[in-house]
Amino acid sequence: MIGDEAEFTALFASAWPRLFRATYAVAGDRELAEDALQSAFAKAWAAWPKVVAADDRLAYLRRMAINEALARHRRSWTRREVATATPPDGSLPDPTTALSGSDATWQAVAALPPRQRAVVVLRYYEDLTEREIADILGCRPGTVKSQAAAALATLRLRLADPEGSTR
Amino acid sequence: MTIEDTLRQGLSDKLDTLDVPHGDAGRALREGDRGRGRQRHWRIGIAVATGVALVCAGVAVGLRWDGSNEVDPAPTPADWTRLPEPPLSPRTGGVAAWTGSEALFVGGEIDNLCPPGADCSQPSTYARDGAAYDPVSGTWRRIADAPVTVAAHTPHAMVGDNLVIIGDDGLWHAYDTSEDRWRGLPEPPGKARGEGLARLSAYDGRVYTLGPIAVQVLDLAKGDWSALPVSPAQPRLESHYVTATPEGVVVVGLDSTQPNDGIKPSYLLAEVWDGESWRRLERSDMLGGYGGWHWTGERLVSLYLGCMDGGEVNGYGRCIPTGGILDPGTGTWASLPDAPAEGSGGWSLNAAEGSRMVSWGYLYDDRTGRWTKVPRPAGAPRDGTAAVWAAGTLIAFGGVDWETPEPRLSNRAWAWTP
Repeated sequence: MIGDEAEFTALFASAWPRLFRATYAVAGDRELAEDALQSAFAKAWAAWPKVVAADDRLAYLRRMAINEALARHRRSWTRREVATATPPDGSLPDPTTALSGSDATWQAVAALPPRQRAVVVLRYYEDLTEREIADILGCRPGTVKSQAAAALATLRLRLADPEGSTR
Repeated sequence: MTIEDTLRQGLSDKLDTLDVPHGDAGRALREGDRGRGRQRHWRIGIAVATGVALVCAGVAVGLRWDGSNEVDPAPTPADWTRLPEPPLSPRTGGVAAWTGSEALFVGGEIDNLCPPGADCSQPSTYARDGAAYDPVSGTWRRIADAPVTVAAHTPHAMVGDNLVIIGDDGLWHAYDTSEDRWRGLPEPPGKARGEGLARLSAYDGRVYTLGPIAVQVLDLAKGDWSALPVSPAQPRLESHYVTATPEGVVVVGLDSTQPNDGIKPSYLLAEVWDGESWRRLERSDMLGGYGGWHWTGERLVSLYLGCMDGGEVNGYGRCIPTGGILDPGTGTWASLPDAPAEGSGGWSLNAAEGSRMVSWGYLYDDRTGRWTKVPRPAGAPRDGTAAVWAAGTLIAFGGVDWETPEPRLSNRAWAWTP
């Protein structure tokens, strides 16, 4: 058990920075990413024999972290929702503000719907294949392909016209 | 530079220089230990319950059908298992729902039955009672009677531990499974659309329904009603269905300026509320959407077989499908892959869970695109059996046979794990 704890702690230390970056990019929020990743590691420890048995421990952890982030984001969209009898007047939070900075690429990615953002991050930052992304997101490779196509179409427009990038 | 290269560069520039906070390995170990404790407790419970269930299964095998099997041949990996006798009288229809631990069956038609398509002078009699089946223990329990009669057409949705219904009295009620108690809910500010045609969708503790103008939202915990902003898109959508998904609230309907008169096809339209604004999607190549929409976890599926060609003169010039698939994230529509012909299926049940749906006598899995004919166990009625998925197992109860001289109701129940 002590050996297991030491192994887990070593994996935590080595994997945390890389996984945090990917989780943050998918979550679009620093605090949410940290909570999601912390929770993923707790679940990994609770299921440690499965992690040890996995062919690729980092991939196993990445799947847990990304899905934690997406689940937390799903729970949060209804809290963003403003239900009124009249259309909102623009006072809603800008989805790009959570990801600060002026970099157009970064802001355009941040404004994508969560699943499309996850596909883009996993494809172009983590350099995963469609099959690997499908395994992480629990969907068909065809869905990854269509999500990626939709994301790229949106990004082409937004990056060509940064002024319209938030709408 | 291609868009792909721009993305690689942009993401690396931003993320590789990110100030990464320190994680807390000790906290993960502590929380993980607590998780392990809960898992051990859960596994012990399942192990005991599985023993009970195996004993029950032995009993069930003793109760199995007599060999004069009228079941349609079906390439299924497993067959139905007869469940213990439910504590309910024979009936057809009613509402079925899965609580996460029990399958609920409430109401149903019990007397003065009216055959499908018939013009009956006397209204049918519906029940208010119900029962819950626990597949782990293999046992039934009676539940509190509903305050109103409940039929197969009663709009309903599971919201956490609550089964929410709109009664035939037009009032809203909720059955709390943990307290075995029904209670009245506040009324929406506008009547739900279409009276008996109203449909409910639940997500994240809220119930969504179509009001006279806007989508109305009930926060069940707070008991508060609110309405989403009205979509500004034109032409206005003659709404049919609202489905709340992780991608947003999806409303599917018809162009209100285009009458569905059989002269020109009236294609389905959809729009998505993402928490900030409405987005009108491109037009579908699909009519009707009569079968309702089920969120698979990836996309919405309307499992309705067949097509419409505009009548005897083939007014549309082709047969346009009445079922299909919508991905609200990308706004893309698709047809049902390799959909079988209507009328070719097996036992006609209606239930959906995750990627798997049963309807028209078929089990369709949207993850694989595979169709499987649903077998019907001997002794099971042909029509009106209520069904619900219970974490991978299909539980079916009741039903009616119209082909006997007098309609014959059933109160038998079965389970099938395909």
